[in-house]
Order: sequence, then structure tokens, then C-alpha cells
Amino acid sequence: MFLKGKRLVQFEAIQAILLPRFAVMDSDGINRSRNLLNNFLASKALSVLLKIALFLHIIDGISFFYGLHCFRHLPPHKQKAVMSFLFNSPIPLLRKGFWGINTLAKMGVYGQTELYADIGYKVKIQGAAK
Amino acid sequence: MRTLDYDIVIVGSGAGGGTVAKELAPLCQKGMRIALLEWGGRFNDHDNTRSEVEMAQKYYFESGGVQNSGQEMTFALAKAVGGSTTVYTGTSLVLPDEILEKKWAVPGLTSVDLKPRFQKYLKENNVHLLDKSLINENNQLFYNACNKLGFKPSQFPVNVKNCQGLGTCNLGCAVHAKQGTHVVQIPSAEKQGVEVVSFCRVDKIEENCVRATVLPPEHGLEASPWPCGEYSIRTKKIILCAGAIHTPALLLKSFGSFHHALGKYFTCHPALILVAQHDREINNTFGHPKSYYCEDFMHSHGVLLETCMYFPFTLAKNLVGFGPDVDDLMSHFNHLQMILVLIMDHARKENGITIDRQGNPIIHYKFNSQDIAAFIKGIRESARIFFAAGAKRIHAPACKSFFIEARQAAQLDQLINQEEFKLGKMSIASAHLMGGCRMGENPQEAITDSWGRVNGKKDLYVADASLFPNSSGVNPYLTVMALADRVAEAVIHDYRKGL
Repeated sequence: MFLKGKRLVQFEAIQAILLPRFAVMDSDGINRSRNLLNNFLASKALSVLLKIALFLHIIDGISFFYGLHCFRHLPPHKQKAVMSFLFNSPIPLLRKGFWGINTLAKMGVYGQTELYADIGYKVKIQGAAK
Repeated sequence: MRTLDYDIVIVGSGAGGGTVAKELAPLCQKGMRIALLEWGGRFNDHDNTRSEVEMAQKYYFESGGVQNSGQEMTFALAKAVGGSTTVYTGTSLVLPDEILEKKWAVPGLTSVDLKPRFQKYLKENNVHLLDKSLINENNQLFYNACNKLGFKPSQFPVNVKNCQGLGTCNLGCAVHAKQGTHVVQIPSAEKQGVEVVSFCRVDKIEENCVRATVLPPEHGLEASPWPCGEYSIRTKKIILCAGAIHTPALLLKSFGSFHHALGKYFTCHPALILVAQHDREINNTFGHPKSYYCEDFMHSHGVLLETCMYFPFTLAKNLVGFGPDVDDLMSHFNHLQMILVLIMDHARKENGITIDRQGNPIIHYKFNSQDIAAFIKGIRESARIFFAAGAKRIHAPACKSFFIEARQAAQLDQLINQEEFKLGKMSIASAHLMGGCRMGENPQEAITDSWGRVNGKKDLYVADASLFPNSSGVNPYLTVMALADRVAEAVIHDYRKGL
């Protein structure tokens, strides 16, 4: 399991800033997010997982410059500032790393079929009238 | 390792492999043995849950997240019996003569030759225009807005039969309404005696020999008809139909870089999803997702606009940004309208496929200023279409703010600009993978002749989109089928001649 322990705590702190919806999810929703992501990451090559792990360390490193703490211990406005820096970074590698983390965060939340009704995504039932 | 003997081995079962299998199938009645090897599994109706992440994992290589080496674009290619014809929307356009004659300009490959082949597959795949009553509001808004702006939208012909309008075509059709090769050509080939071997990964090819591994079944799909393990398959002819990434990679892995153009000149119609929010609820997820396109800017800017409707995670991934704006837009899914912006990229030698030490493909693709200008034009014109359709706000990549409000509609050219178009920031995706084994009549420049025969390699053919010498400008599957039809004809001709 890739997202566990401290790495999971850090990732979910990031996820809550990237998608405030995650921050207000109940425990079922949070567990579904974890399962979706770990299931997805289980099929990824070790090199991909290492890149993700490295980028999470980079986020903590940058966070230190913003408030002398790792990401999860920064106040929310500074956490947002770290994310904005990465998102708009002039360095393509940082933008790409951010894109990867942001995409994972979104998968955990919007990959949940249980959320469809809440967001208004309508699934047509098979065999229903046209 | 088991050793088997066949007359013809076809590698890959998508638009190319499925077509070749069906066209060569009558040879089975003459006692010939034909095997169609497919890396992926065979999907039955009950295998499709229509759940986005689950089906992406089941159908697509790397769940649809294959990236170029620069990590600026993802590629959607399917791994299933039927290849990518299982996951397209079924839009069926014939290769325009202008592209065939000017952009491709392959001696011997003429519209006179291709026309009857296209006609055959248009008929075989039940290609038709959907009745207007079946077109949903997401599509209708695009059509009406294009007309309002003086553009000329066209309706996509589609290859569906008994479509229930489930709207989840890109997750594989749960009722097999799309007439892909897994529905039409492969069952026909099987009936005539072609053996379809699922979960069979081809590792290497040699002269008259295919080395393959049959893998255990995945995702609860039915197991391969062959026991798991390694195989050496002796064969008189090999036809590679593994697609524009895996066919060049397999050739490179098997024979090295035997030709300077092998793996080069890859094109892929890179695309961006754009989204607009309306004040009211619209019917956007029921019905066929892709009904109209607008090619008003094809010649001037190399960009095509299409209707589309994707799923929650796919849409969220494509939103350039984070925070409350993303959640806000996502919370109004039934108010959303979407447009796909595709750029008509040109074949360039620097874009292509290489392999790593293990023989896995690496995709190299660089965007140039012309590509980015095409994207900017497409985004701006899509924004105009959205506002003409009555959208209250839009999310446009290449814009400083997350939303552009309707009151800002007059400033689109200023708000959407090249300075904000930063690679790595936006989700560029591609599903039309072409080139890498370009065909032609000059062996110095082409990997195959215009009939798919690999230059300098005996009994080896290519019959997939990797043959394209340049991008097709349209969804490539019908063109792949027409070319595969030619390759099958060449194989039969060579057999008769004893070649």
C-alpha cells in the first residue's frame, strides 16, 4: 500500500487544500478515496511511485521555506500559497509534479461513484427508455 | 516453452487486426491456420460496470495515464479484444481526399482504391447519422451556437446499433452497441476458423516466428484459451496491428533500429477538454456524447472543435486549477456543456517512439509554437460558442482566472492567451495515435510499402495506424480499416504468388 502512515497524512492534508470537498467528507468517503488511490497506485511501476514520494518530500521542503514547518503543519493560507507556487511555477518539472498530485487528489474524490448524485452527474440505467 | 505452428499470426485485434482477421478468415476454409493474438482480455456485457475509474483500469493501458517522456500529455489506448474500437465513441469519418493526396501523398494509395474499401466498412459497421430526436442538449447547444455565430457545424456519422444512449462510450459500451471489431469483424473471423487468443502478449518477433507469453486473466475477465506460459509460434506470415505505439516498439525490440524512420513521425491530434456552466440544468449525460463537429478553423489554424461529454474524474482532471472553484464547477455537473479542442498536428521526425532497456515503449512528443497557437485559437472559438449557447461562465485553460464570466465575453482574445498556456499545467490528452511505421513507395523514407509490407523483412506486414505518414485529420479508425483491407489483399496476393 503506497499511501499509508505519514505519507497518507501528508497527502490528505494536500488533498484537503486542493479539493475542499475532501475536507468535509465523512469517514466512508475518505476510506473510498484511500481505496481508489491505493488500488490505482498498486499497478504503477516502482519508478512512478518513487517520483510521487519524491515530490511529496519536495512539497515538504518548499513548505519549510513558507513557514518553517512541513506542509501539514502550515496554516491553511500558507498551504494554499505552496500549492499556488507549484501550480504556477516557472519550472516545468514542478508544474508537472503538481499536476500529478492534483490529479491523484481529484481521482480520490471525483472517482467515487457514490458522489455522482451529489454533484448532479446522472447515470442512465441500462435498458431504460430512450 | 510451447511451440505451435500457424500459417498467419496477427498481432493486435483493434481496427487493423480485427479487419485483417476477417478478410483473411476465408483462408481457414482452405485449411490454413490463423491466430489473432491480443494482449488484453475479452469483455462481455456483464464485465462492464460503467464505473469510471474501474473501467479505465480494466480497458486502458495504465488506466489511460500513459504519458509522453516530457509528461505533458496522456495517451488513451485500449488493451482488449477489439483494441481501441472498444472505447471510442464510434464517430466514423472517411479520410478526406485532400489529406490523402496532399498531406500523405503516398504513390499508389489513391481515393479510387480506398473508396470501395471505406464503403464496405461504412456498411459493415452500420455507420449512419443519428436521428435528431436522439441528440441531447449538450450537443444541440453546440450546434445552435455554431449556427448563431455563422460557423458550419456538421453531424458525426456513428457506427452504433441498438444504442441505449448510456453516454459512457469511452468506458467501453456496456451493451456492445458500438460496432467495433469486437462486435463485427472478430466474431465473423472466429466463425470462419480464426483463433482469437486473449491475454497473449507478444514479446518479440523473428523471421517467421512470434514469441509470446499468455498471461493470467485480469479484472475477472475470461481466461485465455491457451494455457499461461511462453510460446514460440512458427508462422509463414506475421501481420503487426498493435497500434502506433506498440507496433514500432515491437519492431525496435525485435530488430533494432533497422530503418532511420522507424518509430518516427508520430502524430496524435492532441486535445483539450473545455467546459461551460449554464444557469439551468441541461441534459448532458443521456444520449450519444459526440454528435457534432466544427471544422471552420481546420484550414486556417489546424484545429477542430467537437462536442463531448466526459465523466466526473476525467473532467476534474482536465480543470486547470484547484480549490473551491474546482468543487464549485464540479457540483453543477448537470449544468455543464463540454467541447473538445483537437489540433491537427503534423508529422515531425523528432516525435516518435523509442524503447527502454526492457523494450517498453517511450513516447517522445514536443509541442511547437504552431501547435500552441492552434490550441489558443480553439480555446477562444470554443469560448465564443459557449457564450453564444448561453453559458453563464466558462473554464478555459490558458487563462489567468479559473472562470471567465459571460460579461467578459468581449475580452476573450485578451483573457485567453499564449503566455498562460504552460505545458505541464493543463491536461492535454490524445486518443488518435498515428505514425511510426510510415508507408510509402520509397524504401529510403518508408518502413513499409503502400501495401503494408515491411521493407527488407520477409513475410512481415503492418496493418494499423502506425502506417499513417501524417495525421489523418479525422478519427483514424475507418482509415485503419481501409488500409488493413489493402494489407489483407497484399497477403493473399503474396500467398498466391508464393512470395
